[in-house]
Amino acid sequence: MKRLIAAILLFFPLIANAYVSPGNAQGFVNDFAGVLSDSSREELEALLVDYQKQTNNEISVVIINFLGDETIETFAVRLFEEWGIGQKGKDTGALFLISIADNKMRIETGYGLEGDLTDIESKRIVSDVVPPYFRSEDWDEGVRAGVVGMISAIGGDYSPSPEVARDPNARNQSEFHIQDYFWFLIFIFIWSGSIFARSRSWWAGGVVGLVAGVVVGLASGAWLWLPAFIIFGLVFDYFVSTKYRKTFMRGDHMSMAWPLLFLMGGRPGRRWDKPGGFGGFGGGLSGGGGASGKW
Amino acid sequence: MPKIKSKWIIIGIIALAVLWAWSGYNGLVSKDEAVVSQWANVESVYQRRLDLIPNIVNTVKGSAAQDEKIFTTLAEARSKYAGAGTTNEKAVAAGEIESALSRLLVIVENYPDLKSQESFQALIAELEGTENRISVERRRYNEEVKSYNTTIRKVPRNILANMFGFDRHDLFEAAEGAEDAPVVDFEE
Repeated sequence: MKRLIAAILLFFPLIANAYVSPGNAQGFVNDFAGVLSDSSREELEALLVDYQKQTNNEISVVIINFLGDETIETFAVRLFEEWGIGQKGKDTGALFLISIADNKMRIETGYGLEGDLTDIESKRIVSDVVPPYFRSEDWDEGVRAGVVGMISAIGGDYSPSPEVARDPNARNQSEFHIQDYFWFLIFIFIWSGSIFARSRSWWAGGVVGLVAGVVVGLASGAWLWLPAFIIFGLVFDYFVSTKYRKTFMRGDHMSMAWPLLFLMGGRPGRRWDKPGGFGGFGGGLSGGGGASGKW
Repeated sequence: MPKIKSKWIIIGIIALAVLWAWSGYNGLVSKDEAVVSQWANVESVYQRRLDLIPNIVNTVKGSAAQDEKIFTTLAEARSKYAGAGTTNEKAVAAGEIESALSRLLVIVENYPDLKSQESFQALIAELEGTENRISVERRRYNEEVKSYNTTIRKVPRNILANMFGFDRHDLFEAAEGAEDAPVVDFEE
């Protein structure tokens, strides 16, 4: 069998000067050669997602094993065409392409960024900044240095969000994001709604609100919100006791099943929780701007 | 009754033919325009190179004054490009600039002091980028031309193309090694 395959491959025409796509984009960071550590890749991806969210510029890092018969310049511009890095029409994208076996790298700049990320700045990054790291095979730091260099060359008023900042102390101070708890809150809301609705009392909501307010007050010191919690609990209970009952409860068996609908399918994907992650490139174009370097 | 029927069939066929010719003609116009606008892109990157030449010449002249001949060649090629009217003339003149530039870069090899100057290296980075832009825009131009030329030669659009006088566009032929940008590489 192996011999057969080898024989078939032998007769395959060798296609010279053909660009072979490395595949689809998995994110802003695409390590087809598998040289980056997982943590470093995730860190870079988070940085580039954050960067795209703030500036609308799309920077993609692509690491491949080898170029084949193609020059790195042609490979970069073809890949740029194929993926469409940057916003459509504005072409605010940039590609940092690295080919491990060829010891070559290139920064390819979208039309819209040519004025900010000039050829001279790109040249400095690929011939002075990154090569020392790559020579000692420190891919993680080298790629990061290249990306940071690109971001600072483009300039503008980008400042990394705390989650992606390099300083680990800053990163650990994760802020409270309501969207992280969205489904949990919805669930609590509906669940408690169905319980309050079945209870005949109108004050239970107020008591629960008081407890919740005290918990929040103890946890964060935001005692000002205590009355709001109580009032909300009362109003909520009143509302569900009168309206919810009529609207949703046609029989007791349904009242318990209803909230369960929200649990079906498990936890929703990150896509929903955190809008603005990698959702494909915008369709930008480059025209051969940038610079190539080797190490 | 049969008379009326055949009349409507004829009218229907004519209407269909007109509709086809209409959309076909418009399709040819957009393809033709795509070629023209891509040529404009090629010209704009050529211009970028022209704008760069005086800077390079000024930087090089200080160190390599005795190689004066190359500067006159470059200047001639430049003015020839400026005077070129048609696409073809421009392509030829651009080819001459290209070969003059590559010769200049070969000459520069003899001047290590110059090569290590920071301002010169910045210029070379610019030139590299510009040459690469030229090859990219030229490839795209050729792709547009190929697609247009194929369309106007294929049945049935060739009928329309003949009727309305859509002519072939010239491909950008590689003139004396002009297909490849001059190799700017001082790192080795």
